[in-house]
Amino acid sequence: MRYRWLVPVGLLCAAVYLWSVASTFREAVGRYELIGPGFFPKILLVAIVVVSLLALVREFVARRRSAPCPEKAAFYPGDLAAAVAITVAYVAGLHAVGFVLATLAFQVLLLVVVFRIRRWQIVCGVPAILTSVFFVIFIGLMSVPLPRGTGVFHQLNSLMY
Amino acid sequence: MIEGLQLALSIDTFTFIMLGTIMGLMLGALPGLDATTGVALLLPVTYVLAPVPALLFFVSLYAAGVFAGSITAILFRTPGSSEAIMTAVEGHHFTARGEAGLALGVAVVCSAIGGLIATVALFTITPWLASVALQFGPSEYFALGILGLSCIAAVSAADPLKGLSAALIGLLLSTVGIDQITGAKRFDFGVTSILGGIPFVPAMIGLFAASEVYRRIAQHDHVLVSDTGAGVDLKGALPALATVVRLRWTVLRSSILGLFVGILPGAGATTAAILGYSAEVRMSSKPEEFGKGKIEGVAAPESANNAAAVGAMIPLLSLGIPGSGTTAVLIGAFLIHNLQPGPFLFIDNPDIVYALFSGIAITNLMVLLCAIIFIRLFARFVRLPYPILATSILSVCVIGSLAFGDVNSVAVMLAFALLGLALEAARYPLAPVVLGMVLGPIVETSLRRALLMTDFDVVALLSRPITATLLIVALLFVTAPMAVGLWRHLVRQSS
Repeated sequence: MRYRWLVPVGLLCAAVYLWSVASTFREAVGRYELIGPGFFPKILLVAIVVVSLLALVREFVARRRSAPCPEKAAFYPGDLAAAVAITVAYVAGLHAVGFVLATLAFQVLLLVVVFRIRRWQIVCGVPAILTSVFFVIFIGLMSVPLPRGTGVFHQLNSLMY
Repeated sequence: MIEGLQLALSIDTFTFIMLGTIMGLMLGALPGLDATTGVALLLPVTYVLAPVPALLFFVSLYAAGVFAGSITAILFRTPGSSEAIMTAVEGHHFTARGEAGLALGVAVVCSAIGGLIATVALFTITPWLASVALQFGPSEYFALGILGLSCIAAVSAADPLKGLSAALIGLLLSTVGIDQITGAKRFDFGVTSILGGIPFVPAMIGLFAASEVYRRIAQHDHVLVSDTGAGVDLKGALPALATVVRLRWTVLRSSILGLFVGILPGAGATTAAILGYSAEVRMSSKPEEFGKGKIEGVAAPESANNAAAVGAMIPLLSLGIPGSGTTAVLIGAFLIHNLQPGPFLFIDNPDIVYALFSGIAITNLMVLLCAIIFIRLFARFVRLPYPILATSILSVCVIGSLAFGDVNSVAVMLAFALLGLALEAARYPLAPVVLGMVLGPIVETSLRRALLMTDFDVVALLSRPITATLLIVALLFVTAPMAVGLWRHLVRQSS
């Protein structure tokens, strides 16, 4: 039940904070004064406050009537956190070691840590095939400037692309 | 006209139409690469070609790219291009039910029909339509945006308050970056890469594709297709004739709407897909079924976006004004071959103009043929074990976002993935967020420009004939479902 309050409360807090940010926008002058940069965002923020308050009132009424809570699905926060962390590390790794190595490591970690796959044929084969395919499409065919990494990795990757 | 048709049907032109179609299907299906990128990248390659094959190569690439985004949108909820965003909302439910074949077949046939209807218009009513589009000023664009937003009431019929909240989030996100009218920075928080606005494609990749993978990881839901697996085997990738006949009005409505939106400069095929979808929701007698896998929800945006892609050629050819981002890049292709799009093109080079018209019709038929092969290819991926699929999708999400910019685009993708995850967990619909983000700039900029032009006279702004008509229609769309609900409630009570 507490979870259903979270989004409207979050929106309410965000709207109040963003109103203060919108008030610092550079002032428009002359004819533009009335329709300055904060004109439209502030209309939206007021609307968000109103809608969030309505949602909270509705939740309050539903709680008093003890309305049934929708059934909760199974949730594994550890796996989600691991997947997000591995993706963030991948993005960081792209600039450090370059596209090829970072992509290989990302896929191996995802398969082993998040999906708990232990068969070495899959853990080694799938990342090798996928990385090769992405390499051919994005670098070979489309010449997308993907990162080469820094230092020795940059030199190494420069030999390939 | 016959000379133009002969030119379009010559062997070398036909070969380049086929090449363009294949390239477009490849680029459109991959997130991070789209038709505009393809046209821009390949512009120099066509220096050595004759004008007609070169131009038709790009036109076929564009048309195929607009369709191809729907393949991955339906199979993996990963829109290959922004035009397929509504197809992802509706179409992926079919894959989950084991009916991907039906959704993909309808998508390709409706895309081709939409494109062909727009091609007929290209031949017949180009000058008239272009003049109507020129009557659209800021207030009319504002009303058009409001009309698009009014479908939120229908899309989120189960919980309008949540739908409205989601749309407001989308609208607010559309205000990030430099204000188009005053040049002031808004909600940039010192991040220079979002000064041009939140990058749309990485945001959509995050909101739909990455969030879906993370959700499945968080819930240990590793079954992509229902146990039956029916429909993934695409022996009959084309839908039954009866299905197409049943969808005839949906396709016709959406194609006409898409064609008109395509003609409007700056509106584009993505807006057309959203408006086509929203119009279909409102016309339906069962709007509550949309968003849960309704075939009209696939047919409408697919007809609309392909019709818009062709429609965007009308102002380009007749007035020299690009109707979309890709046609803006296409101007480069004309200039390379010493051709100036505009009224004089019809006078000086009518053979080229009619060759282009005929080539566009051939392109749509070619998309129909080639797409079936591509659909079969992509449908095989659905059979892969989910861990492998999820690893591929997340990799494409990151690489695709990176291809659109820098590491900040990936950060945007991740932020939207978490936003999508949170919203879906709290049972907020995602479609209104997209509606808000796409229509936000149109609504805001047009409203402010219209207010300036009318000296802040709101009555003058709202009383322009086209504006008033569009706003009344929007009001009807919002209030009609409520009125019908009330009427049914009263009838039930009295009986």
